[in-house]
Amino acid sequence: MRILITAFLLLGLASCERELFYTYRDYQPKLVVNGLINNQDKIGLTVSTAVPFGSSNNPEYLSNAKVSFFIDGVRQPDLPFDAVNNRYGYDFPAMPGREYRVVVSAPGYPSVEGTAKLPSAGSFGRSTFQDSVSTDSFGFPEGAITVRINDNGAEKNWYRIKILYFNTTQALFDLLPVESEDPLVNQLASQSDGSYVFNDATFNGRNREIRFKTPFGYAQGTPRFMIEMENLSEDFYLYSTSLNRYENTGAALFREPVFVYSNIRDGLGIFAGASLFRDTIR
Amino acid sequence: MRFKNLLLLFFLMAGSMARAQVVVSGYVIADQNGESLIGASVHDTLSNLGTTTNNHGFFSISFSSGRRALQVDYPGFEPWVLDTQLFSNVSFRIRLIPLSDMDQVTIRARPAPGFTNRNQMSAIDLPIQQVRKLPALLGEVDVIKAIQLLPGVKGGNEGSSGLYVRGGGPDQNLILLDGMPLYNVQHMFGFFSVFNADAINSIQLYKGGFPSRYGGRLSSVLDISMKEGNTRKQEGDFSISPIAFRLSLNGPIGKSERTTYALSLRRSIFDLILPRRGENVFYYNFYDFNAKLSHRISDKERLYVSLYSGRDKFFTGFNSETNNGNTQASESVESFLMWGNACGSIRYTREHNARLFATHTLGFTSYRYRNEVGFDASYRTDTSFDQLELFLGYGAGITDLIARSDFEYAHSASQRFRFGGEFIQHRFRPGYFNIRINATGGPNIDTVIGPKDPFYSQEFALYGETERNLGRGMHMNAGMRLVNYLSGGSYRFFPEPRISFRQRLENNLAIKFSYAMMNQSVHLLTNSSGGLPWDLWFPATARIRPQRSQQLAFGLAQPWKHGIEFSLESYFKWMNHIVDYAEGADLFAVQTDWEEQTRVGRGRMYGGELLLQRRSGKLNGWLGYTLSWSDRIIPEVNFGRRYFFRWDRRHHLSAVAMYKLDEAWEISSTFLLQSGNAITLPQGRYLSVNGTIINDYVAKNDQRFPLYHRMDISIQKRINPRNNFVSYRQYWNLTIYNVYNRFNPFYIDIDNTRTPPRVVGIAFFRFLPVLTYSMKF
Repeated sequence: MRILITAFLLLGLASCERELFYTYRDYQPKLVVNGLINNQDKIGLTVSTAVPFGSSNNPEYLSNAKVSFFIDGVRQPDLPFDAVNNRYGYDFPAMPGREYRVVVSAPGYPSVEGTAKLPSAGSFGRSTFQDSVSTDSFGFPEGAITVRINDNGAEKNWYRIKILYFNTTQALFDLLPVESEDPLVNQLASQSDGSYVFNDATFNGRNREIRFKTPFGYAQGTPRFMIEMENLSEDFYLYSTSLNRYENTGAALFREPVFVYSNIRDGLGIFAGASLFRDTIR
Repeated sequence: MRFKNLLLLFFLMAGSMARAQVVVSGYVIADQNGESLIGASVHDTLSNLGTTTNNHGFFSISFSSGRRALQVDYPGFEPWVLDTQLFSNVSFRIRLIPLSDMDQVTIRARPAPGFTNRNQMSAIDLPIQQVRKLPALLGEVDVIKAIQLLPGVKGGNEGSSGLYVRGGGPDQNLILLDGMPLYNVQHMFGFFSVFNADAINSIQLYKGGFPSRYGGRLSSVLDISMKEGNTRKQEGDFSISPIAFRLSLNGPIGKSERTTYALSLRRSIFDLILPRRGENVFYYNFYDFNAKLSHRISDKERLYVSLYSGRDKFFTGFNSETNNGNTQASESVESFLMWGNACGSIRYTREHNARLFATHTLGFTSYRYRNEVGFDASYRTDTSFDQLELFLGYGAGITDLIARSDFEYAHSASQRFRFGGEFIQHRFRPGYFNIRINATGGPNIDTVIGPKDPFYSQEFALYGETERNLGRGMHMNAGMRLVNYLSGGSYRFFPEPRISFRQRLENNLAIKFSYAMMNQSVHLLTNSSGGLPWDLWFPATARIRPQRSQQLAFGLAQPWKHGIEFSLESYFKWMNHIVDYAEGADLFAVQTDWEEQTRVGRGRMYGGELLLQRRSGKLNGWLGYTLSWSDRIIPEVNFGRRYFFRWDRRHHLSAVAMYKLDEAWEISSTFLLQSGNAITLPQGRYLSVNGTIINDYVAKNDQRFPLYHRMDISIQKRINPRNNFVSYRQYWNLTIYNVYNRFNPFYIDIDNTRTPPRVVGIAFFRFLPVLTYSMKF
């Protein structure tokens, strides 16, 4: 009897899986433009294609796109393609306060365009470091880095902060795994690349200090830190935060889907700017 | 002074009117067992004035003195008729006699009052006898699944007992069991509801035009009354299905017929028949228990004590012991998932006089969820003994204390009042984690993550409503509910106007209209997609305000030939301050961080519903069709663009038929055809700025599940109807779920393990025949 009932239950409750064929014929081929520009690094962007979800092809970078570029409405020479880095770009960086527009076309795809305006250079105070201001749960000393923002109350601002330390072994700056009890840089602001992204909604027009705890072992001897502080455009902020949410999304069954922001007209991707300020502490 | 004079004049006028009239009051009960018949129609066929019995089977109506032809109707019972001259107040205890099976074939000259005569619109009472005859998934009779077959009501995933009424969410249904709300009505991960059909006396569903006595939810009121017990003899039911066994007993206590009891127990049987021995233990069980005690203190006073308790438990355990040379190791991992409700109430009713009836209720309801995982290990050598204990617990819940008083006053033949008040104290226990680590020589941690203390909020509501016959076939219900809500130091006040009209024309066609405003101070986040019971109830706060809805409805109703009732309704409903998950919300993180993981917006719902119903006769059942839309607009979700509600289904067609072949055989069948619900699926893939491949979700909920349709059949055979020694009946019931083996996915997932990724549907219930046995004694 038990066997019968068990078999019956298994029969009844056994799941049955079947592929569902959704048609993606309405999904038109799209160009994808990705370019996040700032005032420190050379202007550059990538052009690739979006493919229907059920397609056996993967999205690929395009090398034959025509990328027209405009600065404050004035057309510039087309962006040349760099085959090594799969990107189109110039050898000079963008400038704060200027507007950049890109129009991209490629055979077989409708042309797309995007506009990025670099925000004005943010006003940041000098960052400071204090050693051994507290101890961690194991009793080891922790340092503290204080970052200062002088917010411009005349406009809405979005910021990104990233703290690096000088790795003497490799002779380069590496990400410093900092923590903070400041509610401004809570878990939601934390990005997967180690930076923190937030807006000025709670301190518009005021000076704001944010204190980060530096873990033991990174601030011994004569430490060197680099603080990257960026004043982001809104598009930059929306794209970064939505992409971060997307990348943190785990199993689809228990997560709501994430729509990654795009400001590319008739296409996908992002073309947005930020004004970057780097501060070093020795 | 002037006001006092006016007041005195008002009461003098009211009194003089009252003296010119006589009051007919009393109780309507079933003759065979003394159960109160709720919603029975009591009317005078000469004047067409009438009323219905309340939740205790009581009615009161006043007429001018003179000749009256009183008739009492209830589906499945012989009408009670009395042609008499009324000169003074009179009280009746009316016993209705059930129609014999063959009597039901006869169509009575006067059709039973249905939608046309009912003043209340958007309301359906579903006879429990019909529910019990419907084909049931795995043989478990389910009230909620029967309700899902009504127009305007939709279920959730395939096989689930979700309830989505007129585009609303599952939290927006006020589900009352003997007056106490239940917060989670699901057993077995949502496949069955917690309502044991053997314990139920009546079911009333309100989809709109809500009477003022109800409040606190936006979309529907499901008012379920438990059986009171047979006043004449002891009786019982026993049944067993592949899922559970049920045992119900009821009857009088003592010989005076003053006190009765009703007990019902249902318990799953998986863990009783599946082996538990061995190192690895796995079991699942659920139970629910209903008890009710009814006592007639006097002819005018009654006392009811109701209790419900139900719980589901899912347990897994793994144990191992190893002896590796010098080391003896013992390890065990145990986890369980447990959720359940309990509610109870004490109700005292008093017929103060023939016109005034009062009900006072004191009760509680509680929902609890608990998940625990524990790991214990010990390692022994010749020289040492180490122990490690890890424990992770998660809990959430809500408890309400409720006090309520309701009064009904039959002022005149054309006007009656209801008024009362309600106080609710909510105690929320939003999700919290309990972590404990004990290790020999290591850290000892015992901490709680999440809110350590419960939140409290209070609701106090006063209501008043009047039913007034305006003459020339026009009837009006008007009311107001005043709600005061206090939470976390913030106070809110909501007036909720309610009004409805019915105009009856000469061809018995009734035209109806209603408007209702509702507020809801509790929000729910639930993982209904996975069918898991992760219900998180949380209070309205300064940021997440109470939800509000307003609903307009228009309707037509008319009795047709052969006992068929026709009803057509359209509605438009709009809601504010409703919550939805933020994009990327983590359903685990939501449990402790609900304010950050949710977004607030608004929604609109509109549609039309057609219902053709035949409630008596050899062939009875209904045909329902709904055409509806339900969408939401929430900033920061779908880029602020409007999107379809997940359970938006454009078309919903249901056909239910029950046919009695003879005394022994009965057959019933249901057919359901509905559009697939909305789902968000990726439509493309592209490269991000980091070079990773990401999905292009063009819009939220812009795709659909496949078309859903299914037919079920139930065949019941009654055997040895009479035994010489003891009176009992046995029934064998064969139910075939999904007769033609339709693939209806329970959920849809993305299979990323293949290239290219594919969309797959997972279905649980295909062709599924089940045999159940039941016995009545």
